[in-house]
Amino acid sequence: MTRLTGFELKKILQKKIVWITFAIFLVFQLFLTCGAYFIASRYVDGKFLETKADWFKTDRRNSEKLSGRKIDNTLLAEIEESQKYIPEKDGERESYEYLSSGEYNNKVRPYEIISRLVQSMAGGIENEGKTSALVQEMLYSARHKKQEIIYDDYKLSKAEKEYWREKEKELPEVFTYKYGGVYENIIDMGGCYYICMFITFFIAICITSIFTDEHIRRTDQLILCTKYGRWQSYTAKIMAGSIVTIGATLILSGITLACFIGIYGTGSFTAMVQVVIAPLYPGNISAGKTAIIMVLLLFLSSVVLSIVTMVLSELLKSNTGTMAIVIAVAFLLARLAAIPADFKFIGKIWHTIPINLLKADEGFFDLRLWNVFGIKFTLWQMAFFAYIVIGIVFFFIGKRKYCKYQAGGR
Amino acid sequence: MKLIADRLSKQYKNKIAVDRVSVEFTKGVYGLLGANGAGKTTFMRMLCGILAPTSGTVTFDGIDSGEEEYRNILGYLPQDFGYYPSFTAWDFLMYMSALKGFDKRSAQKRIKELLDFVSLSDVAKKKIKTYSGGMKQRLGIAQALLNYPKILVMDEPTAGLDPKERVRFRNVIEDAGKESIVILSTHIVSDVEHIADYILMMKDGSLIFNAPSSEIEGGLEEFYLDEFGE
Repeated sequence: MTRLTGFELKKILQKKIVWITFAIFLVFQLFLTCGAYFIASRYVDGKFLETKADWFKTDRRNSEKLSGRKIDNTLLAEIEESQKYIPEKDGERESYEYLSSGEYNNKVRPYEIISRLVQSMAGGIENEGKTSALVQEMLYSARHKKQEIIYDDYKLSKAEKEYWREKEKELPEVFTYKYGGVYENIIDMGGCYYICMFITFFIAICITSIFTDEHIRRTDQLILCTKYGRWQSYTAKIMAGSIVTIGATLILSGITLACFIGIYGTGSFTAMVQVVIAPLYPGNISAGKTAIIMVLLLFLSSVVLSIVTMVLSELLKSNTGTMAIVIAVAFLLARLAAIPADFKFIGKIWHTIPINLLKADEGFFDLRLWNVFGIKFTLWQMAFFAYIVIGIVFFFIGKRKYCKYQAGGR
Repeated sequence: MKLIADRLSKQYKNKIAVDRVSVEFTKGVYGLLGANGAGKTTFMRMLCGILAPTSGTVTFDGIDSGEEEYRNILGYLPQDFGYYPSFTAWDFLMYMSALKGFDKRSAQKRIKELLDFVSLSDVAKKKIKTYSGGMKQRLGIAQALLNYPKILVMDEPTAGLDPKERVRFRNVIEDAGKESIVILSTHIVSDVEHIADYILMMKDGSLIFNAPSSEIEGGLEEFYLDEFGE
């Protein structure tokens, strides 16, 4: 089996299209990850203010300085104090004079990121960019109120609301701010989501021909009448396709991770996801764990998608047809607006699909739950089971089809 | 050693490609003759287990053609198939040997023998896309012989071979026929005239002749033309 898999890998990797496609997606991913960091600059009123690299560095430095501070009355008072230096008029707040001034850079800017976080936690209690006169009790109570609104927006059932209220109780009463660094970016769009998107296209272009090439070249006749030409050959092909997919995902993820660490630093693994990316999320999970779960989901979904794609190509006996289907579905999923909350079941399925699930703001932090025999699962928890089951089902459908293939009608 | 095709039929919608063909094969070389479209290829594919018959069975010493054990003793050279253009002959035969269940060491030994045998040793490390039609055909013959098959099925094996290669090929087949069942189809009578122990003739999906070649009086070509009324 190992030798057969090796030969199947050789067949895939000898194709130029595989390397060209991968190189293109690698360049895209690099550009999305660190392109802006190296080539972009910030201009205000037509004047150069700073490079993006300096901007990121300053924000990182300021965030790291505040890392470990409790978001309590003391910090809120500091934030409020810093905001006294913000000009009242809109135009002045965005002017070159203000943004390049010492007052802005020394007094306001160090608190800018935490101020935005506090505003998000309060769920919109804000005043023209200012966190005005917020005290600890107000902030956390506003957060709870906003959560209840979100529960209603999702049309959660009583049991679901209760589930999340219980989860919320596991969170500390006062949050501690920690800099999320690399974890924030893995969770956010630039990380898992884009890699998932590129890998989907990579699979559609490069993996669909593993089975169909044998039919087109008519080498299927040779393979199918050999001792290991059925079940073992099928498994070797599926393994090879999966290995190439894992390899491509691994390289894209590895390079993305390296770029993110270089730009944003490692940050704190234990930072609460609420202070990093999802201020209103009621689950007790760290940013580091969230990032790891998303990366695992990315790998699992990539492998399952490659199996589904390979099997689909064997069922259709057409790699271009399969490619068209996979790309069309990926575009549809990426471009279509969210499913209305009234269609809860469809909405949950929609957000469990990898390309949606790996969007932090849509799928991963979706609060709707799957209820399986009385046990409640979040969408991402259910996704692990669903992906594995789908992979296994498609694997056996493909095996049945391949092993019963008839080399006739030529 | 007995290969039995029992009332083998294949029907495609309204067309009967093979019509209740029953044959028993024992050791020796069988030449399967017939015009294009007679059903030779369909019959051979069913013998190889890669095309399910509409009715009837194929067994070798009681082993059904759908079983792994049957495929283990089978060598097949299809009439028309492509190769992996970026593979070398060595890679291709190593791949086929893996499919045929060889371990790496015994595969290497066997492949060296076969490459010498089909005179491809010098170009074994060259990509198949650089090969001529005849070289590809020889490579196809080599892969069919790889597992010392007890059943060797060859569909138009001499296509693309030059006269010298044809003579060499005939010798190979004669040797193979001493230990195995060799079935080769062709529509070129001279290919089987000198080497086939038995002659089978197919017309419109039916087996119209099955006898030892020694029973054919006069030349095979005349006999063939008489049988087919051409």
